[in-house]
Amino acid sequence: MSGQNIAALAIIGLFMLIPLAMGAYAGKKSVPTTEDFFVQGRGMGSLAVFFTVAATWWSAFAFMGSNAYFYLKGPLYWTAIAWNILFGILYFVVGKRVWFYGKTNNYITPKDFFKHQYGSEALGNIVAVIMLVFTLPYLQIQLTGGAYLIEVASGGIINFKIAALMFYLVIIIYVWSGGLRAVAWTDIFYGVLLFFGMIYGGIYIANLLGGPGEMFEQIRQVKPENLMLQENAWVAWLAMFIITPVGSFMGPQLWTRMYAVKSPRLFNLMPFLLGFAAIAYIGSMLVGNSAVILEPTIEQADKVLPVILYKYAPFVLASFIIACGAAAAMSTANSQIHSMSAVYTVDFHKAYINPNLSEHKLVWVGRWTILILSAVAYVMALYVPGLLVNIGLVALAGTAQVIVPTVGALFWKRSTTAGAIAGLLVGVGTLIVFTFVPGTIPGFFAFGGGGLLSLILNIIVFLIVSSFTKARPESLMAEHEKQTDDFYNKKY
Amino acid sequence: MSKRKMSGQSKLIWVLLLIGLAAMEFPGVFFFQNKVDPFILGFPFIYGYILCWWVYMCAVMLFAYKTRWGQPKGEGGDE
Repeated sequence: MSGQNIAALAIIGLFMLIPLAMGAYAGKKSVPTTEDFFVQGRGMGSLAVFFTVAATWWSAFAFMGSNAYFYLKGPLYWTAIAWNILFGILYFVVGKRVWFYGKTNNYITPKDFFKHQYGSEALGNIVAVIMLVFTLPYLQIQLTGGAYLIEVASGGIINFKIAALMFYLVIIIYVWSGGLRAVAWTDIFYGVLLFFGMIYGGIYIANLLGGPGEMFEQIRQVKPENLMLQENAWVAWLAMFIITPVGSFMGPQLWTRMYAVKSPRLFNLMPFLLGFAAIAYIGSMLVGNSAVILEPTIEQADKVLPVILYKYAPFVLASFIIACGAAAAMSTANSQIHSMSAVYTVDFHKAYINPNLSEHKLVWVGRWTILILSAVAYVMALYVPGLLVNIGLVALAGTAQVIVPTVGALFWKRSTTAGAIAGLLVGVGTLIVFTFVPGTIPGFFAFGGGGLLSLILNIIVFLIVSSFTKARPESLMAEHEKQTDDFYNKKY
Repeated sequence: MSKRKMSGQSKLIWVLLLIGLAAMEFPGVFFFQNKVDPFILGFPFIYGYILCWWVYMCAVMLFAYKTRWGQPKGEGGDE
């Protein structure tokens, strides 16, 4: 290992240690209750909410996977600009309502919402299982992305397995220590780094080729197909536009970030903030495209960013941006692990295994859950292959299924428990079939639209079954109606 | 008594947002997918085209925030 490799690892290590210190400090301010550990006592301030949502939303999928897609598939990933805006709009329209019902009814986990809104424990359990199962592969890609960065930074001396293990250990240490408060504080730190790191890195690399205009002219000479959408790419373009924001929005980590908000005004501002932040993708777009000229034969496309930076950017700049990449992966991973732990602890352990456990002991169950779930994701990172974005899209298509009963509960009085369960089972079932037997995806959906088709089937089944099955109990609907009136009358 | 009716300004905001999202998602892939020229802002057509709509959407969303998404001030709005 050269001196430069050691310095690169030291910089990444430093960026991991700072959050550890923040986590430890946050831990001192926490109170040993499940509400504080999981939703920060519903007192998260606006600045923290924005950064924690943004940093959770911007993951290895965005920071590294996007470069790989621009490198391999041209402008396909550029649909991300629109999906960021859609994500912000979802946060405003659906998120604000979920926050309101969460605050009114003391929800802590996503299951609480479904159990109460539909009056069905079974539906709540199905949602919780979907969230646990489909968040795991998304957690896996954070570990994989982080490990790629460490592997490249070390010049290959630290191999992928050890790098992923290092990543795993740091994450669990500080999520373990401070609960959601620690996660939110560190996300402010990460969020700022991410935004500027992505943009500056892209501009720097493109300028090596004479600036963006000149760089694209060079691509026109050697690989003109990279400047336009490829054949049938419109299916994937539309599918990613819907699946990515909806799936991420319905992940347990985002539910936590809806419940924890203190001021409802933030929801009104989030579409603008999140939409504006989408400009950071310009950095990935420039790096991915520049790599077509600078390094046309990179075998593992997900390593485009670290390979290009360490080879062409000044060492300090490269290490700084790579540390931002590690931050992107880690901020999402810690949020996911934390919220998955909440789902297991509150929804299953407390509900079925030991209902009489004290608050203090429940927090400890949450911590052990963090350890175990991350270990599963680590094993998956070692043995489940694939591009970060492709694995991420399957995970997101799974959690995206939950949007159907969510919107149904909020906006359609006729929605029923049977309709919600039938829709979810059909949606998830077809998604699993399409993932493991891609040949079964019909027609044009075969060009990257399997996840979207499973969501459409979920919606159709939900609407049909709800129309013909028993409505939700009258007492429940009366309560829902009263709370909805409160929501509108307060004009949040 | 519920006050669920959407104001005229709210409707306008939602129409403007839907126009923007539709413009970003549909014409680009159905009509311009093979178009590289003209370059817009130094980027190939599809990149520049989307960037222009991004500016438009940011302006609409900022306007929406400033006008409370078309809603009059309520009791919980400034919590």
